[in-house]
Amino acid sequence: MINKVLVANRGEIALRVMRSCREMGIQTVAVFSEADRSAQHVRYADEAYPIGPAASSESYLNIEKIIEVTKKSGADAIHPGYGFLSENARFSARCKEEGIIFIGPSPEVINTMGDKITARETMIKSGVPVVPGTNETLESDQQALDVIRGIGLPVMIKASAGGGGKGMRLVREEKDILSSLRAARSEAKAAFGNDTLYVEKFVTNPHHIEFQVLADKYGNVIHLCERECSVQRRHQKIIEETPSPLLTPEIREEMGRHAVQAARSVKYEGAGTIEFLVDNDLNYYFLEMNTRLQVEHPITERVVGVDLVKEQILIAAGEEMKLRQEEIVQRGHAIECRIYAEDPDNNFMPSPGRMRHLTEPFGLGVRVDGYVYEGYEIPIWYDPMISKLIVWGSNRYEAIQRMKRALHEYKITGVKTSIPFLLRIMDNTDFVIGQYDTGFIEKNAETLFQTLECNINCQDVALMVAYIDYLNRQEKRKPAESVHTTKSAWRKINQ
Amino acid sequence: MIIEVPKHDRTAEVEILSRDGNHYTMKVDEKIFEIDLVEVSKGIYSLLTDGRSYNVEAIPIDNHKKYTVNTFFQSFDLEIVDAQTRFQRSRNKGLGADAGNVIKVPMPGKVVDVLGKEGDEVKAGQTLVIVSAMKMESEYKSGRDGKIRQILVKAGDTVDSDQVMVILE
Repeated sequence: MINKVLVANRGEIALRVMRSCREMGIQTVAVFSEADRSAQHVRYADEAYPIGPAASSESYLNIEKIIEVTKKSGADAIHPGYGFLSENARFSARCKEEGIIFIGPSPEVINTMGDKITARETMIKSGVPVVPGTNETLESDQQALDVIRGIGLPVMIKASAGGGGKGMRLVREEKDILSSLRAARSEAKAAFGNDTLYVEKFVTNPHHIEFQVLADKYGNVIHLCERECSVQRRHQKIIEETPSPLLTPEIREEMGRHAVQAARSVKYEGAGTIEFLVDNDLNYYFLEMNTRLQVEHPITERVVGVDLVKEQILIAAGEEMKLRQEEIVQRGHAIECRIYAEDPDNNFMPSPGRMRHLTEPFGLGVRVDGYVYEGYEIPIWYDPMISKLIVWGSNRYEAIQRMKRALHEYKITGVKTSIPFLLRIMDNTDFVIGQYDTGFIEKNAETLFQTLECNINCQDVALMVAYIDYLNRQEKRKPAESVHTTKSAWRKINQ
Repeated sequence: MIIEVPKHDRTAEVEILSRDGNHYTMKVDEKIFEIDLVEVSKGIYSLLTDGRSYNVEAIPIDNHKKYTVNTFFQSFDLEIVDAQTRFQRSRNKGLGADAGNVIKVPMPGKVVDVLGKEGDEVKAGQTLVIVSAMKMESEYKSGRDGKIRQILVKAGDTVDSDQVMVILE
């Protein structure tokens, strides 16, 4: 039984986890860095403890400090949220050593799924499709040519010891194969001291579709259907929806079965996500497994009616899962937009600062998972995500209309946000008809980034407001000094 | 009053022709606007004109001489050119403190690295300072060829919006 949970995270996810705890009658403990003293998760929790300076490496990533606070507070479990320590095998192991329940996977599972080649081999063994390719090393040029011709261009040559994009070469044309091999080999040798290469098929602008799974200690594994996450910028998701407009019921069932198989093959426990690449012909390939709660989990919660955090906590406490696969049905359609403090018209430059004015959307089918409040200063130290706006509709069309309505109601001032950009996506034809893949933003750059003209010139509106605000402030500061021509008009009003 | 919109190379003349309560008749260059303007909370205005509703935020910078104004879809940087501004501009001429000589940071962040030292010759486009904010690093480059006169930040420093980091000669 779990009575008190320490949430080793900040921002919206810390708050989201604490909400479920409160519903379950579980006490909550927040931890915070020096930059987060006034953050919402600190104010919401039953207990809160400082864990160090603003830089995450010295606070939210400080394993020993967090363990120490957990013991001091008497919490019996730690929920890591996403990011930070959520997929850190050492943290999971330290919790185990200290007799603290880690609401997440075992260190062994994190290691298996964290190493791309081991994960790939495990999936092949259990019959889950992976991106076509080979694990045999490319020895001679002739053998490499044969292998690559067998797979078919384009391919990605990768270093076996690889990471950080080093020793990786995309090959689109036959004539580039040998030169790319040589380049990848020397880069791999220089970077890792190991020039072993292998090759994978390169899927051009695939769909990124993931399946949510839940597994308990007793071998029960279910999937909770998919999330379509193909709207991405800089390889980061910004809009997710479920059901995916691409999948057919047959493919959904098949992929769901493979997701369950993938989780079973590593004896997974808890909530996890199996990510697939899907091409336009509905061929799908295992990409990786995320052994944590995903940012976009609320859309799944909305359409299947399951609180994933509650399930995580119950599973970690050793209870047997009550949900059965046949009970999982997608009802209606859910979309999530991630609201970032950033300037979409200036290369998505982050925009930290003080929240001046905040009006969150409400009404039927709207959920906001956020953490900011008016007057709150968004720190420069962490992720620029302000909140997640999730809407539900009885069908995809209604969900899109509702998202537009909610985005329009959502007023955030003081920092620049991605809201206007998200609205333009909701109006984009490719998005509206559901024909999009990971190349979406690039393909539609012209319409998504064009600055919309106002009906009358917005610039003139801005000029008038700035001028009047300037006059107001001058007036308040030095009432006697001004000899400006507009003065008399102001005087008359103010008397 | 003259207001500049530097990014759009515009110098506009804005005037209040008459006022009755919240209702103004205003002139922006040659255009006349009838507006209904209410300050709903500090710096936040609701503006109605020609049947349209605008929610506008005016964020003052530099003692209310510069503004960032956000309308729903767009954001503008404006500069009010009053007598004081004109005086300071003429005084600063020749001191070499023009915009082209300084490298500023547009948002708060933390200096990751300073690439260069005082007295270094630099080329246009050469990165001089790297600043990190919200997990993203941005490079600040010299706008022209020249020589570094002064460096005002070092790695590890926290910087504020509009803070000058490097001055060129």
